Amino acid sequence: MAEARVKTKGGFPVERIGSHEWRIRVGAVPGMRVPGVVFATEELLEKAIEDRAVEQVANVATLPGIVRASYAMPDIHWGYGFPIGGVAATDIEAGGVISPGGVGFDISCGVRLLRSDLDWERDVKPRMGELVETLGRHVPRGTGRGGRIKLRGAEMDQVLREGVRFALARGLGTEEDAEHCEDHGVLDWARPEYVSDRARERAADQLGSLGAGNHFLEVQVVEEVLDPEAARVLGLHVGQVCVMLHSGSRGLGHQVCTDHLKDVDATSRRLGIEVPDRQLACVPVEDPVAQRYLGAMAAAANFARANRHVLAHTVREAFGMVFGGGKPLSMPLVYDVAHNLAKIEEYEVDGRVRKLCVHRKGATRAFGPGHPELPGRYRGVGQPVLIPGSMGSASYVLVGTEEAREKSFFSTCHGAGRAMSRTKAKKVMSGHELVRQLRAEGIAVAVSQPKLLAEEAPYAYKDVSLVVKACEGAGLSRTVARLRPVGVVKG
Amino acid sequence: MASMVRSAPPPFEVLEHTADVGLRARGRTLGEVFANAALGLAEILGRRVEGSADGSRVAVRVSSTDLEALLVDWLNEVLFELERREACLAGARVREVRAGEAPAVEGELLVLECPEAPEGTEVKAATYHQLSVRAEEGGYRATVYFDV
Repeated sequence: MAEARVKTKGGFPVERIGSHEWRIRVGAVPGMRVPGVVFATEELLEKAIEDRAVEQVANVATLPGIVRASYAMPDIHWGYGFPIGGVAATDIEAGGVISPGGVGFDISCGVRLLRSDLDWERDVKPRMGELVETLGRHVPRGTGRGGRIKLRGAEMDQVLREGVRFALARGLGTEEDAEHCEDHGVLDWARPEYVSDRARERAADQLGSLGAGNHFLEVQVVEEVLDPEAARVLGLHVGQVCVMLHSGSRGLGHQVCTDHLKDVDATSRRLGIEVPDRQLACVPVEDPVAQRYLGAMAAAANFARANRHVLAHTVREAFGMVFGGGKPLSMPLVYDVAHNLAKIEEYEVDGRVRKLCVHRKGATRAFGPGHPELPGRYRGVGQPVLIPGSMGSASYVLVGTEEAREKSFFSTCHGAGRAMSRTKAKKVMSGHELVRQLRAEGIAVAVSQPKLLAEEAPYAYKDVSLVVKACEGAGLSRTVARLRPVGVVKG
Repeated sequence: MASMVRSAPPPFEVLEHTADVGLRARGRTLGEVFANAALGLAEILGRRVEGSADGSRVAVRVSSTDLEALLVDWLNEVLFELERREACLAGARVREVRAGEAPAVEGELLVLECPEAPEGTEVKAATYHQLSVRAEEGGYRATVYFDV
């Protein structure tokens, strides 16, 4: 084991307490109520220290009612308020708070994986150009772009209340899609009445749209299976073509956060809650202001699930145009899970089962085997966790572990984690050069804003393989399969 | 719009952040700072047009709990107006920034159809992270980070 202590830029030490675990002691930042714990290898920790992410872990530890520790996953990087990769749970009965910044503006942003019966070499490789071109033509994407469904009248309320059920009732998708989605595709405690007219307006034409930024659709091939039994249960095998979708709640979620953060900030000040970064503004979960936010957040989460569900249907149609004689291809949903959300979950803390508000900001819920909320098919292996790599690099499918219940409130990483600012990334290479490079590597690309592509270049991110390995080393999740991209569709 | 801030380049700079993007705006008055911050946001969005007097005027009025929050609310309002109109920003003028008790800002945006499809960074919202509005020699300086 190398250095046992590493100093952050903030001047406080981070101590090694396990092979993949580091601690920030209470007191490193004034007001810390619990320690900070970063799950990482030394190499990944060094990267996190290069920006302000580790200080942010300590800041989160000041939240009222926080229990055990302020956690950071191995893909931790600098966020706004919370670090990206941050997990914090607060004890509701003990005045524990909810902080909208611990969920973020893209409420319930998440990942969905579809599997197919198509073989890469035999079926898809010869028609890859046609496939990506068809996907590019049919999948709505780009900043502010309209989606597949324009919501009229009461339909928005229905989406906000029903999540994927709204789309199922209109003949899009299958019952299995709902079963294999986190919370069966709907949070039944959503309160659409707390979603403003402005939020509704921003998203009225966005259902079924990918968006821009780091959101994407990738055609991927299962390159390696690392856990054959879990892969069999998840329906994955080497050479199989899959589609990974990364998107969120679009303008609706952004506006819900903006609206409610303003109320939470004002209330937090009125209540005299002091936090080291204003973006950590928070109120006790039982306060009416918090309840309104949670209801609106759940409604935005329902929108996000419905959005990815409708996108998936469009993908099946596009595949059907190329491989199914025009009929949507049956591409079963492996799983759909968010990485920006707060949930009310129960855990034993200090010998007593408590109701906690678990914030996961750039972290994925990862229930271990046997968890009652998992679909029957997956209960034996644990919850599937979908980890997109940076564009052009591998992605991973993981499963949750029982060990993570104690270690991280059943949480693991959410991606590679950024390592370079957008400005720097664009200086390394232009978007057009990157497109050429990806194509030279055999990856078909459909991109509507090529200039921006370099912001999301693989070199702007950490090595996702190291992140996933660190999660496994820390006991947060197990690696099931590695997928490599063969086609990228972006806004 | 005699005092419309339109000179190029306006006094703002884009700040680096690992995942997101920051903005520092300066001005002789708070009004100029707010106007320049609006132009800086439009620059990040790829929705800034220089040297045009055409376009329609959009009135923006916002009130907040304090001056810093007022800047965030103002920028979120600018973001919303540009997005809903799918428009570019040719200029911004702030008639009044009321600090102290019940802070408020009244301003006007000069917006027009974008000459070409914007190729800027998608901004979700202005945040309170490291937010500041403070006096400095010769005027004021504001710092704000956006979630992108």
